[in-house]
Amino acid sequence: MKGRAFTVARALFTLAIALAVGFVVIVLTEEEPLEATSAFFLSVFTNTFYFGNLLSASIPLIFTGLAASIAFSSSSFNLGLEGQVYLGALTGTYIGVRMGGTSPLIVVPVILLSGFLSGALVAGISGLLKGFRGVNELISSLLLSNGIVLVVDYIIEGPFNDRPSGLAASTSLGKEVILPRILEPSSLHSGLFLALITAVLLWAFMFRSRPGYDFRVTGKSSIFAYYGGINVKAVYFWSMFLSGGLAAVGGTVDVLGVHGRVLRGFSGGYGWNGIAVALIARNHPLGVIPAALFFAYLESGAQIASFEAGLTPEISRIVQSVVFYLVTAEAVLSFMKGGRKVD
Amino acid sequence: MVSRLEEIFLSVRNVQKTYRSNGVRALDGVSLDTYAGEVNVLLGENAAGKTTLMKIIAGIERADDGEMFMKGRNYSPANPVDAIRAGVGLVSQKLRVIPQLTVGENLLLGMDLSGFERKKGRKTIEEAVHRFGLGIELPVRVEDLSIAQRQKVEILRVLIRSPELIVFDEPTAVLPDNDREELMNIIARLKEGGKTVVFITHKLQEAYRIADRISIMAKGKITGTFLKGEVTERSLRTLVAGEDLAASGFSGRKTTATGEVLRVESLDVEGRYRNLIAVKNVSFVSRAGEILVITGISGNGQEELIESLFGMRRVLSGRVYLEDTDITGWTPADLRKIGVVALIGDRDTTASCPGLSIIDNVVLNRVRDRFFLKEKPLKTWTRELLSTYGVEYSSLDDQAGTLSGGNLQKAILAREISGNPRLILLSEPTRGLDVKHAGMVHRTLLSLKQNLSIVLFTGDLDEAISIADRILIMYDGEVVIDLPNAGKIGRSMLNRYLQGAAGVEST
Repeated sequence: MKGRAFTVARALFTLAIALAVGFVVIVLTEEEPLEATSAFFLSVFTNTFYFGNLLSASIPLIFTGLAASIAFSSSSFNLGLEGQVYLGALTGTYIGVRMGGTSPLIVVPVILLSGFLSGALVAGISGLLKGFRGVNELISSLLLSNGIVLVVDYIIEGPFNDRPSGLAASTSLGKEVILPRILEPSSLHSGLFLALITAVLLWAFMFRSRPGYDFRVTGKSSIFAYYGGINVKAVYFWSMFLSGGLAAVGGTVDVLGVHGRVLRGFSGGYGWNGIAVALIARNHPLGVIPAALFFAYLESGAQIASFEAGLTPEISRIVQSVVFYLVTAEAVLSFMKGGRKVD
Repeated sequence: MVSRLEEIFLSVRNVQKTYRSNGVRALDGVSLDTYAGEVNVLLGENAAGKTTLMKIIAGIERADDGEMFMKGRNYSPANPVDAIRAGVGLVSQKLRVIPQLTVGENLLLGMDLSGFERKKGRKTIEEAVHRFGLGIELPVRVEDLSIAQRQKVEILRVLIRSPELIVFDEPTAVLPDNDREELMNIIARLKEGGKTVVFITHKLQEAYRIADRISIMAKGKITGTFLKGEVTERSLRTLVAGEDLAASGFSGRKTTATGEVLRVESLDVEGRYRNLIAVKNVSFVSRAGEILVITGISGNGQEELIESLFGMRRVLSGRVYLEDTDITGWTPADLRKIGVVALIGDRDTTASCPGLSIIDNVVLNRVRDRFFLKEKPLKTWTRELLSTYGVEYSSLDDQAGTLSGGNLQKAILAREISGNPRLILLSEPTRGLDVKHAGMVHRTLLSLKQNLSIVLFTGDLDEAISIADRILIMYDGEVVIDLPNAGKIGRSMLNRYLQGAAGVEST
């Protein structure tokens, strides 16, 4: 426990330094540094609209963060999260549109399940290729994902396009399946609870179930896992399957809660940011929640500061990057130390 | 016959060495003279201290006490570089080559040159290759070479520095017959060139063939030095092995063997290196109620055999049966399901995972047949198991890598025995354990054997004799003898087989 307290203290210390550096960057570049700083770091807490948007932005990140963490802790490197997010969004929307008119109590679960399966199956292909053909899943998932993003773009601009709107967007879901909003007028929706429950379930899976144990053991040493009677190939498949499914649900939930349909580029990097979230959380499912909130906080701060205090978007990005860079470096540092000796 | 200069090149006087890590007294006052321009052979059993002595001469280890003189002048190398400068070259047992580099690059690495001297270095290497005629190609990557060829690279790397004294530490252990011949020729040529050679081996035949002078080492001391003319091969054999164990209190063991559990039929197993068959046509049977000990000098196929029996290495041909089930090539997962457990030799990468917590390492078998894992009962179970085996640890959540070697060994052993196995395969189960705990492990195995079959791999003859119902000796990938441990066999006899006596007799 002493070691854990030390770890937390160090993480907070790093955070403080990171924020201080962010402040210095703003001071050096802005005419009214105090105003810009407070816009960046504090405004988000001043009204429910900003705060609701922050929470809303964290929802897909929790899903993709969980997706990345489960893959990484099983030493499956799923780099296809971005494509899986798009695929989950498209599949969910398509099923929802086709099932229009049925009771939402049936449609919403079916949409979520189909979204999950679409990402899971695509990522599962990489898992199978790794287990049976020795194909590096890092490459195969990335390449598949890149292709998927383009295919989804084609579908929403072609066959599944919402012609009347003139947008690069798909047909919209019926209003009845859209998740209830919280803290209106912000975009926060009840998908947040789904994300939190998923995180807890995943924690229980990883630390309180045999398959989760198999995942963790294989993640640390596949030779030891094989020797110990763990079906390593099954772990390669199922960890990719779950990871892909979770990432896809991130996309589906974003559609159900925010947009009501698939928009071109709606993700804006949920998949990639999920990897960063998992890194800060050190692949711990419960750690993903604060990590995703922190990431969303920086995103919101950058946006708010640019239109409230006129902070140029570039400076916003720099501050965001500096803070993020330091926090990630700290996470990597203690991750590496943890591998050697426990305090 | 031999032109003898009768000049002492290196003199070792009363050197002592105790390893601090495990308290083993490896050298107990060794005195040895090596004569210039001669081949000095050092013969002895496993763990007689031969390698330790050579490490001290090569500056890898430091002596606790005693002195060394080179050509009459005080010689006390603080590190390998000192030894190399003084003209000592060691061809060590373990190959110190980098597989990803080419032969030429490996040789250059050993020369300690600055960038400008590379060209000169290459020339030196080419000359050496030409001179010693080892038939190795410089641009080939070492990973594409057989182990025998790698050995040659290692030898060449030592020879390039033109040392005056060249120590070969059991270089033939991994070499096939024809390559042994070539090595003998190299040594003969070195001698012609006036170099001094120290050759360590436990193969009597080859020792007798190339030696000018033979020293016998046992239990950290030199027990005798002879000129070649003074001894015969036969008398050497008695000198090395000591008296028969039958005379020294070895008593047979009543076997309680019942039904056949494991049957191995003409097994061939792939080796670690390309085109090498590690286990050749091995057949044996292991029964319930008995401990079958498979022994041999390490590197004769025992490790590959246990790995193949447990699905960790490819079987090339042959069959393995557990009772009536054909289990050839089964995975560890399937084998564990039917009650086969194994302790594989490589503790840090295969048999344990240092980066996982202690509890996660220990519950491996325990959790196999369930879905939900309850933390409390699992922790209680683990605590009880570990305390039964006397494993010392501070917290179950600590990483297994924080355990000492002996404690880790006990924890792994406890895990493997904890199920209800029908067959236990164990590689060096008492390695790293002190006498007390080794005895405990032996008692546990003896009490377990009533209901199951135990196959134990060890390089320690004393352990073999004290615990085995049957002893099987491997040499060069083959089983050379399979005998009940019933009092008729002596230690010297076993030793002969360890050293490949079957081959000696047939020639």
